[in-house]
Amino acid sequence: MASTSNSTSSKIITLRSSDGEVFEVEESVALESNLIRRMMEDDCANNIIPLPNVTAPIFYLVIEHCKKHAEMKDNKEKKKELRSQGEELLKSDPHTYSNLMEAVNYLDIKSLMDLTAQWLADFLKGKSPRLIRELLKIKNDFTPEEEAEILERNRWAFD
Amino acid sequence: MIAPEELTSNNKDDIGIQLHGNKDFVGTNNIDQGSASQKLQRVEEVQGRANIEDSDQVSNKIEHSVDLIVMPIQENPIASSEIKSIVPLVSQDDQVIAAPHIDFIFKGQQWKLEYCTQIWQILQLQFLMERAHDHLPVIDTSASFVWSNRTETPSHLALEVVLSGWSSILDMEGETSWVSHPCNSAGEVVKFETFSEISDEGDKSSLVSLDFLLPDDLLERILSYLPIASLFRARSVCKRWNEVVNSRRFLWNGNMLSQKPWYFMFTGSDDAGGYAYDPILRKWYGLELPCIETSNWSIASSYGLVCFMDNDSRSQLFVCNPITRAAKRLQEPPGLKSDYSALALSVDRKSHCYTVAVVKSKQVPDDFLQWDLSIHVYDSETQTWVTSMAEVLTGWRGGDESVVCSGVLYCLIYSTRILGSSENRHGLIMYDLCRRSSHASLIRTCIPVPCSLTCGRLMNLNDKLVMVGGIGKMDRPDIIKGIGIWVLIDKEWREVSRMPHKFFQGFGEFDDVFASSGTDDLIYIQSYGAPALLGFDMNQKQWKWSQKCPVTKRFPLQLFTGFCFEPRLEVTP
Repeated sequence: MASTSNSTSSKIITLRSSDGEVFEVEESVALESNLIRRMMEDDCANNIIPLPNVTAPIFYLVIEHCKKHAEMKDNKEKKKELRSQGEELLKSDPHTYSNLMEAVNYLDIKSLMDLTAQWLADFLKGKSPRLIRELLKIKNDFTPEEEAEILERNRWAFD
Repeated sequence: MIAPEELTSNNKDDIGIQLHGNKDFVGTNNIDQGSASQKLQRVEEVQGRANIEDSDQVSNKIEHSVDLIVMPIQENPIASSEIKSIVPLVSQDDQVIAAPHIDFIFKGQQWKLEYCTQIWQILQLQFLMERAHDHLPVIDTSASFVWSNRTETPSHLALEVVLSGWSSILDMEGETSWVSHPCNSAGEVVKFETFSEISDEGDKSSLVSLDFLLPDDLLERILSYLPIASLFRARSVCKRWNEVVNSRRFLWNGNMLSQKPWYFMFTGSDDAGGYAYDPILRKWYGLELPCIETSNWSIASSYGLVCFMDNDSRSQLFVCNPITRAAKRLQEPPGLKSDYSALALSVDRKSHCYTVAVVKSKQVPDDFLQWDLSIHVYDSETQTWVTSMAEVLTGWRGGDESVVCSGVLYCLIYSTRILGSSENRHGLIMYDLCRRSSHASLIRTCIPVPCSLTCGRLMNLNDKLVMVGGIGKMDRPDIIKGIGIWVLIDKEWREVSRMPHKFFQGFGEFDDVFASSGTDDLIYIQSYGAPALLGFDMNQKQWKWSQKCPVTKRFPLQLFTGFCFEPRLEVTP
């Protein structure tokens, strides 16, 4: 899927997801992942590189976002679009978001790490703790006294 | 819970003002911090009525309800009310999110409106909103509102009160998911569901708690992208988040977000209260400083820490982190009681060790021209003071302006001779804190300032010495005519910028002596006579007013002052 009809004869890397699906990815895209880069440096590149921690649908998403991220450079419109897509995903499907984030973390892709972390950070920005709890289904495990103490100590931030 | 269908079918002619719990907030303009618990109680009441907290409804179906206040234009409230102050639009990130506030009096009561979009639209439409903070079914003083005008007839305008942060979602969802509804019979607050998509029965995925899914290191990463105020709020979400934020690893890895230096402005000269300005979010936070008692104390700051010294006995000396409020009292610096005293602080970015330098000046008895100048240095590692330099200056005295830059202590000195109008009355001396040679002559290091100044302020901007100076008039060098910024490169002053005339005039009458401080690449300038704050970005060479400061002038000769500091969680004195 990822092998585009690019005229430049860039090398194709073959990767296999945890559920057995095989992906062919351009080297330039694959090298965004520091994990794959390290594996290739260790000379595993001639064979299929296994990715035991990433499922096919999530890996597909990762590659999509890698490409989008590459396009996004110096393109403010695209940047905005990607940001809002992230928020959409976070809102509609937090499970996938979390899987994506973990995969990105595992594959060690710096650019996407920043991007996906930024999504959630944007989402949390300006929201009250109560609202964050409500939205992310987090249980408030502070006692009222503990909560009051934190609030009192950092009152300025709640203005 | 009233279903949206029922609401839409309501007769629009029924529109009225919903002043729910009106008597509870008569005549208060500010959000009363002390009444947080009362608010909480009221929130519970509201929720109890709406049956939100009841039962399994919450877990099966998310129902975010908001209060809706609708008001007919015939009331023409703003026209009949006195608008007390308006803060203009701001934009945050790429989006245009306005955060203005309007104080106004309506029907004999004082109201405050904060955070809405498109203030100009509001003024044109001439309609009003009462203190919606108290209407929100959530205890949240950072609530935001979104205005809309969706009803067909121009005589009816609707206002939707949206919970904090929802506004961004509103943009996402598009206009269709928001409907404006008139309220039903008077006295009752109407609830309606805002997010039909989320509350959709089929959407089970949103029930997964993201918190469980994210391992600590990822959560840490995410939180590190938050602006500092949001981070403080995130801490009170749950124990785990609090632990992650407080963890040593998190603090030392630092915030990923580029934090720009903040500016603290004192409310008055008699107390330590005031507001801190975040130039990225363009927001002022009410902040109480630890240790310091009045605004006329000497203040120095460096990498997240601030040093305070009282200006009477000069024996009370503290180093603190104004954000975390961690503080430490230092021993009194050695040496005699001085006539003038300059304070400087330098924090090592890696080790967080710090050095405090006090430059004391005392007139030699019975000698008009000679002044004793001594340099005393405190080291946080040894926790002791060392008097590293003493010299008698002839024709010059030290003052209260000094800064440490790349291990060198710079200090402004002032001529004590009677000078002609063309001569500079300021000089800059330097002392190498790393070498600490006691043999070097300070006066030999003296560099004259680039032009006749009414007042000079020194600061360390990315390890470069920068001076902001009031440029004196040709014939009257003690009268200010403009402000210049210079950087010292190889012992030569180079002009960086001059404050454009429109900004200079924007302060009203600019005092000959003023406050200015900066760090990183940002310089703040404020006149003693007004609570206006101007910033200069050294990289972009751009002048920019701050968002209006909540500090107000209470009497004619009130003095306004403040200082710049970096908001950093990880540094502790």
